Amino acid sequence: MTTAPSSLLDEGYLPALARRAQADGFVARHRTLAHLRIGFRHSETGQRAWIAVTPDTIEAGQAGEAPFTFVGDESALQALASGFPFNRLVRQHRLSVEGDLRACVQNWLLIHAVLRLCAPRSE
Amino acid sequence: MPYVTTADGLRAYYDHAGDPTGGRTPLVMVHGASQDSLSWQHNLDFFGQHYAVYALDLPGHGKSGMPAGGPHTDSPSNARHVLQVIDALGLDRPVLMGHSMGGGVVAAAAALAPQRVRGLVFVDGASVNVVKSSGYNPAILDMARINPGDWFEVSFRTLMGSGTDAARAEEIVMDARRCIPEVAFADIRAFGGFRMETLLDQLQCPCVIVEGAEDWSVPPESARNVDAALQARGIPTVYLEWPGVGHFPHSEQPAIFNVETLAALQRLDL
Repeated sequence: MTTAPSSLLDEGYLPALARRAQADGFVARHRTLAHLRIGFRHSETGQRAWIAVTPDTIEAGQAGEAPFTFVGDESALQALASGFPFNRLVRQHRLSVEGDLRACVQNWLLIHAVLRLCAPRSE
Repeated sequence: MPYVTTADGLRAYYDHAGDPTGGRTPLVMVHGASQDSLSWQHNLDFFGQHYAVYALDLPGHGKSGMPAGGPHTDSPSNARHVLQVIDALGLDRPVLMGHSMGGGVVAAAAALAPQRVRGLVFVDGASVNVVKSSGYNPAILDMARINPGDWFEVSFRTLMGSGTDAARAEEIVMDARRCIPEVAFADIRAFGGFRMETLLDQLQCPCVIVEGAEDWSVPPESARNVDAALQARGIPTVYLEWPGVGHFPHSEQPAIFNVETLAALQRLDL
């Protein structure tokens, strides 16, 4: 019997990521004056979640909107959860951006800082 | 200070190592996108023991001037600049070494002036099918234009090999952050718009092709295709690939890069 790989939208995944990001020095260096909410949406099920970064707190949730949303299928969300770089998924068109593209790319480095913590070696 | 003025009137900076008066073969190094001559800092003195080495700053990069019309957005324009610098320095049939985007630049220079180029070294710069490997298309370019500095930093951070020391990775990233965003974006256009496959049959000189096995921007698959295409035409080549290394072998693992690339050059009598 095999276990399905984790997906970014699995229950508890983003809250755990938020806790790791809260304690991460690289994220801390890049969240001065941050006001960022990164949305995620499963392109097939419509399931949504977000992770938000401010200078003081990093938290995850499901209710409410985000200025921009990364949208991908199960495979892409599993790849993200396993630490595959989000920027490569975007370039491969496995992950698309809905909403405010400018807000997304303006925060490109901070998004990387948070999502790189999905990689097992970063835990 | 090591500057020359090109035929286009551009003040061009270069760093150098090795005695240029000792009859040594000239070796001209051309950096990649969003970088400058500093990217060869771990290679210059080593190769200077064997060659007269010149590490260039392309127009708009490092300490070179900006072209009157703005930064170059295509590799052939940068190639013409390299040939003008070679003229201004009075170099006789140099070996050209190019990293990443610089690989396209030196290939274009060799295609423009085959009789003036002794050999080529592609350092993760043998890029064919760049749209497939790097994903550049108009939509992606629209994104990169918004924030080229962060775009490059994230790209570079994810392009390091698994064997790269963290401090060295930071050094590579900080070098890239010195680039003017407008120039960095022009480089993205130059890299993304270059099609090495269209000029492979114009290359006539021996070529060394080196690759980090973990490079996803100019992946080994691309470099092996270039190697095979050149060999099929009878062009002498040496192909090297290193595990645990990403897009910047000369910076990530300079000790290995220097020794093995020099040996490859010597095998080809370059």
